[in-house]
Amino acid sequence: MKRSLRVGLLGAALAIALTACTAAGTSGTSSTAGGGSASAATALYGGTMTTAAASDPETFDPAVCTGATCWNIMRMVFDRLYDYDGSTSNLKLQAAADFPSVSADGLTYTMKLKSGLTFSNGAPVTAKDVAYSYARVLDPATKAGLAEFWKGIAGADAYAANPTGLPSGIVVVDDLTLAITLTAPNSSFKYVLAMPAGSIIPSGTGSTVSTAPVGSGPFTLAKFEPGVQVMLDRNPKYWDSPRPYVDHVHMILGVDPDNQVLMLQKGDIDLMGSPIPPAKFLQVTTDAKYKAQIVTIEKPSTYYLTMNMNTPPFNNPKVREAVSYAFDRTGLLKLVNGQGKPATEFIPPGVLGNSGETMTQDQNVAKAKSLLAEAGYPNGFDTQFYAWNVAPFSALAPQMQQDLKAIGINADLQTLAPNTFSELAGSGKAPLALTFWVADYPEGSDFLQALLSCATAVPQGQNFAYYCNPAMDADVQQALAATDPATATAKYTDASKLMLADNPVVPLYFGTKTEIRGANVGNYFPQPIWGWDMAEYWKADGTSSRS
Amino acid sequence: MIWWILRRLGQMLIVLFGVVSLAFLLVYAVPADPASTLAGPNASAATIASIHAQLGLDNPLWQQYFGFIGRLLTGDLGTSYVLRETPVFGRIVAALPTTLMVAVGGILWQIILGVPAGIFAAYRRGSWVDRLITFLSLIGLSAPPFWLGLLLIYYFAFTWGLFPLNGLGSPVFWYLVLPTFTLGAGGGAWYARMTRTNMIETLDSPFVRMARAKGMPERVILWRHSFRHIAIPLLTMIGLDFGYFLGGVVIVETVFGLNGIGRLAFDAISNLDTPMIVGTVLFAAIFIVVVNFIVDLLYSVIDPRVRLNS
Repeated sequence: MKRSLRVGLLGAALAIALTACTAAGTSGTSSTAGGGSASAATALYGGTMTTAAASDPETFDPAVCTGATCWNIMRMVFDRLYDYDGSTSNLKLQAAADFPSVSADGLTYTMKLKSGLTFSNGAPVTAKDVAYSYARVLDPATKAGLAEFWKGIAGADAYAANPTGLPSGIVVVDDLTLAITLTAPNSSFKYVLAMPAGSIIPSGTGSTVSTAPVGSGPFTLAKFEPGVQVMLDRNPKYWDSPRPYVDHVHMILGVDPDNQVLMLQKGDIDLMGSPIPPAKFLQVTTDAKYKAQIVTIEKPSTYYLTMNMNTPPFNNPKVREAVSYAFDRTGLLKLVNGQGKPATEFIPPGVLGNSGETMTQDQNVAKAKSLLAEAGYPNGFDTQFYAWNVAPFSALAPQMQQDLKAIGINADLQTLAPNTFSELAGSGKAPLALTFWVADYPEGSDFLQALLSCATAVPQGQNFAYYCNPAMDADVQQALAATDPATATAKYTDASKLMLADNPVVPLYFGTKTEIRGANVGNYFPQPIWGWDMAEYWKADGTSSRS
Repeated sequence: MIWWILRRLGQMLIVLFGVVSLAFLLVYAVPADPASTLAGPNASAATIASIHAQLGLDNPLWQQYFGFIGRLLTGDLGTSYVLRETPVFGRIVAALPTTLMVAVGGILWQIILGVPAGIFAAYRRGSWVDRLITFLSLIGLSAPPFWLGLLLIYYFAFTWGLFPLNGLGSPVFWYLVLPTFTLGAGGGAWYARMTRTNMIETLDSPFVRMARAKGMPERVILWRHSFRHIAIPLLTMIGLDFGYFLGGVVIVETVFGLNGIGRLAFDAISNLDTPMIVGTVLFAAIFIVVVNFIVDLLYSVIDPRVRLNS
C-alpha cells in the first residue's frame, strides 16, 4: 500500500507539472462563450437542482441580505413587484399587475398588485404587506445596509427616527394598490423595487423572517443546516405556473470554489455559486468537452483606480491627469484571463448612461512624465497604493505598481483584506485605491451618485476619491428626473465627461462574467444583476409533464 | 494529586482568560469596522452609525470588554455579526464534532505513518531504508497541507473516484480519509524524524546494551523497553499537535468543505465577525489546555518517576 501511495504521489506530481506546462502554452487564448442553453426546447419537470456555495447565507431576511448566496435564495423564496427579465437588465412584472403609473411631477408611483397572489402559507398578498416590507427597510432596528436606496421616499427620515405605522410617503390605497411618494424625481426608483430589499413578506413577520422566511416566490425554505446545506422545495401555490420546473433546490454550503469546479465536472452539482477560480479558468474554459456548458455575459461592472483628491499630490489636477495615462488596459486584462474589455468611460455597457464614447486615455508614458514635470514632480514621488488581497486585484495591483513606476511614481503597494481595505479607503487614508463596482441596478446613478457624488464624499462612504463636483451632481439629478432614456443618457454622458475631465478615478476595464453550468441543466441563463433565475431552469433528465 | 489538579485547573482558567482577552482586543486592533462589514458597501454613514449603536460598538472599549466578559461568565458568547440570528455557542457546538474527528484522525495518521517508520529507520540506521524514510520525511515536511489536499482531491477523489470530493456523509470514515491524511502527513514526517532520533539515542543506551548482552529478544528490546522510553516525548508532541492541528484544520476544513471550527474561524476572521472569532478562539484554547492536561496526567501513567504532587 505504501508503495502504491508513493507511485501515486509521484504520478500526481508529474501530472501537475505537465498541466502547468499545458496551461502556460495556452495562456493568452481568449475564453470561449458557448450558448446559454444546451437544453431541450420544451420545459421538463421535476428533480433536484444541486448547487454549491462557498459560504452560508448570512440571513433569510431580504431587507438585510447583501451577500451573493442569500441574494440567490431571496430570489427563490420571495416575490418583488418587478424583477429582471431573463438575462437582460429590463424589468418585467412579478407581483405587480402593471408597471408603475408615475405622476406628472415624477414624484408619485402608483402600483397595483396582481389579484389572487398568496404567500406560501396561504395568506393573500396585499398592498399592506408590500407597504410593511418597504417600511421595515427604513426602520433602523432592521439594520438594512441597503436602506439608503429607500431614503428618497417622503417621510423616510421621520420614520427612521420614530418607526411606527408607515412613512408618510407610503400609502395603502386599497388591498391591491400602493402609492409611494418621493422627495425628488428618481427614474431609478423602479429598479430599487426590484432589489432584494424590495421583497414582499407578510405584514408583521419582520421578527421571524430571518430564520423562518415566508414569501410568495417559486420556492419555500424546507431546511437550513448551518455550514452544511440549504434545501428549498417547489412552492405548489406559486402564481406563475408551471414555474418553477424543478421540485427541489439543494444548496451545499462551505464548498471551496476549486472543489465546486470538480464537483460540477463530475456531475455532483449542477451550478456553482462561486465564480470559476482564476487558477482553473483557462483549464475549464478552453476544454472542448465543456464548451457547450460555458456561458459568458457582460457583467455591468467597472474596475477602477481612485486618487484621493484630499491627499497631496493627488489634489493636483496635473498629477491625476498623468496617472490617467499610466496604464496598459489590454495588458491588465491578460492578467485576469481576459475577463472584460478595456474601459472607455466610467459607466459600463448595459447600464443607462453608457455613452459608447471614449473618455479614457491610452497608456502614454512620455505624456504622463511630462504632465508630472508640469505638476512640479519631474522626478516623480512616493505614495501608498491599496488593493484587495484577493483575485483579480492581487493579480492587477503589482502590474499597476510597475506601470506607475514607469512614469516615476513609487507606489508602496499594500494588499488588504476587503473589510480592512474598505475601512482605510472609506476613511480617506488611501492615496491610491484599486476597487470595482457592480451595478445594483442598470442606471448610471448607481455609479456616479453612489461612488462620486458630493453626498458620498464623507468618511465610510464609497467615494474613495473624495470627489465632489456640484455640476456633475446636478447633471445626475437631471438624468434621474428625465422621462425618456435618451435625455437621461445625454445627462449621464455630460456628467461622466465632467467627472473624467477631473480624473478622480481611472476606469480600467468593464468586467464580464464567465460561468460553467452542469451538463444536466436546461434553459440556463445567467442574470447580470441577480445571480440565478431558478424558477426558469430545468433538469435535462426531467419528465415532460408534472406527475 | 488533588492539589495538583486544582492548581492545573486554576492555571487553565488563567490561560483561557488571557487568550480570550487577547483575541477580543486583537480584533479591535484591526483597522476595520464590523458595522461596515455587516452593513455592506451601499450603507450610508448614518446606517453604519445606527448599527454601531445597536451592537454597542460606540461604547468605550473597556465597557465593551467588561460587557463581553460578563456575558461570557454566564455562558453567553453572543450572536454572530455576519450570520444574523446565529448564536455563536450553538454554531460552534454544531461544528465541534467534525473538528474533533479531523484532529484525532490527523493525529492517528501521523502516529501510524511516523512512529513505525521512525523506529524502523533507527533500527536500520545507515541503510537504504533509513535514507529512503529520511527522504520521504523531507518531502512530507515540505508539502504544504493546502497543496497536498488539492492534489489528493484531484487524483483520489476526482480522477480516480476512490473517495468523496467534499463534505461529510455516510460512512463518515470514508469521507475523513483524505482530510485527515492531509492533516497528518506532514506531522507523520516530523514524527518519523523525531522518533528516529530518540530511538537511536535509546538504542545506544547502556540499558539496551545490557538487555542485548543478556540475550533479550530484539522484538522485546525494541517495543517493550525502547519504545516506552521514547513515549514521553511522543506524548508531549501529541499534546502540542492538537494546538498545531487547530491551525491546520482551518486549511483542511476549507479545502475539503467540512463544517468545522477551523472553517468557522476562517470565515469569521475574513468577515471580522468578533463574537465568532472570540468564540472559536475560546473553544480552540479550551481544547488545547484540556488535551495538555490529559497529557500531563498520562505522564505519570507512562513514567512512574513523574509524580503529580512533585
